[in-house]
Amino acid sequence: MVTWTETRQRLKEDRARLLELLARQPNGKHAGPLILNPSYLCVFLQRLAHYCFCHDHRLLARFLWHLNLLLTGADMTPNTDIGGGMVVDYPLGVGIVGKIGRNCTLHANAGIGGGSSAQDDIGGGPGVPVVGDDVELESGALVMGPIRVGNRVRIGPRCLITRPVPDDTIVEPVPARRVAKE
Amino acid sequence: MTAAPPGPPPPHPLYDLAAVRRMLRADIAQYSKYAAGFQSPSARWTRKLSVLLTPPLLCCALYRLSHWLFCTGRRRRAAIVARINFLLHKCSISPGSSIGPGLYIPHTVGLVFHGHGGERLTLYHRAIVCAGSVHVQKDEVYDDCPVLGDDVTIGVNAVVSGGVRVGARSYVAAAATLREDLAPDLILVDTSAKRSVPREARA
Repeated sequence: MVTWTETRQRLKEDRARLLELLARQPNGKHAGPLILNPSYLCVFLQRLAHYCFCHDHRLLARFLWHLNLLLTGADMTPNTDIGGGMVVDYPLGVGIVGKIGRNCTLHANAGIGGGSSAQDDIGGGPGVPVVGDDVELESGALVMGPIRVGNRVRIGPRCLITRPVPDDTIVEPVPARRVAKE
Repeated sequence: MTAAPPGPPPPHPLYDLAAVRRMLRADIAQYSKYAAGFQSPSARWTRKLSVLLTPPLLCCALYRLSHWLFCTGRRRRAAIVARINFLLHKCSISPGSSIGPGLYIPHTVGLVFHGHGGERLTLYHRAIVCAGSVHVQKDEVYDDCPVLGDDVTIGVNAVVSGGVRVGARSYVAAAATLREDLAPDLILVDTSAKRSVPREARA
């Protein structure tokens, strides 16, 4: 059960982390308010939806969820508990269900959710994963099923994770093969 | 005034509307070439004209408009047009990305493009061409964004990330991942798929 103070604190951490990443840019100045940036907007709407969900405003939570899907293309369910400092690089195609730790980074088409037939509940909900702190999912990476992903894990592009991942791990994709044209 | 980011120079900048029209004509010609097989030769002219309202060409037109606004210094308007393009077609093409004439996007959903492309580029749906690190401000193209040569095709679900160079006439096949340079005239094939097993064996 997340409180309003906690929600605001997490949003503050999200903003701080986004601005920290922005400061590393060569032309690191954001034009206009941060809320107009889809990377922040999708997390903002998810946090509001999660707060409404926890306080029995289910209809409002559902409305915010659909608004998020329409505006940013990210399907982040209201029942997902996400720690502070989340950054979604490209929200397009991102789908999230489960429980996620602090400072998570997601890229385009990354997904965290159920997918196998197993429906065990390990803390995030039936059949969905629990992801640790400082995890990065690159483009198209998927974490599926009731598994636990450790802290400080980096999952490469288009990797499909269906088994638990220990702490301090980098998961690399299988290299694609080069074939000469006829 | 902030300094320009140290990215590669755009190969096809759009500074005047005549160039936008020329590029759009090439896009329409490219689309018509692929769509011709699906259209009856006896179709009426209204039917032939209707290809201009198909999502692939509308998406190309909105991208060209946003890139022209970007190149002429109207960054905020370029971002608004790119956002409208996103809301209508669910594809995220950065306004700073420069793509040559003859862009062909058969299906727009899930496409992410942040880099530079050559002439006659083909992008299938859910193809991702993106920077190697998190860039919150995606209007500019940075050093770690991919640069694609002429006649390149990026397949469904393929990922091209980081500051890689893809040679001319190369084809990144469906679901392949590319994080190193690719020489010209090659096909990159995804090898991660497993052979199929009977459903009983899996249980």
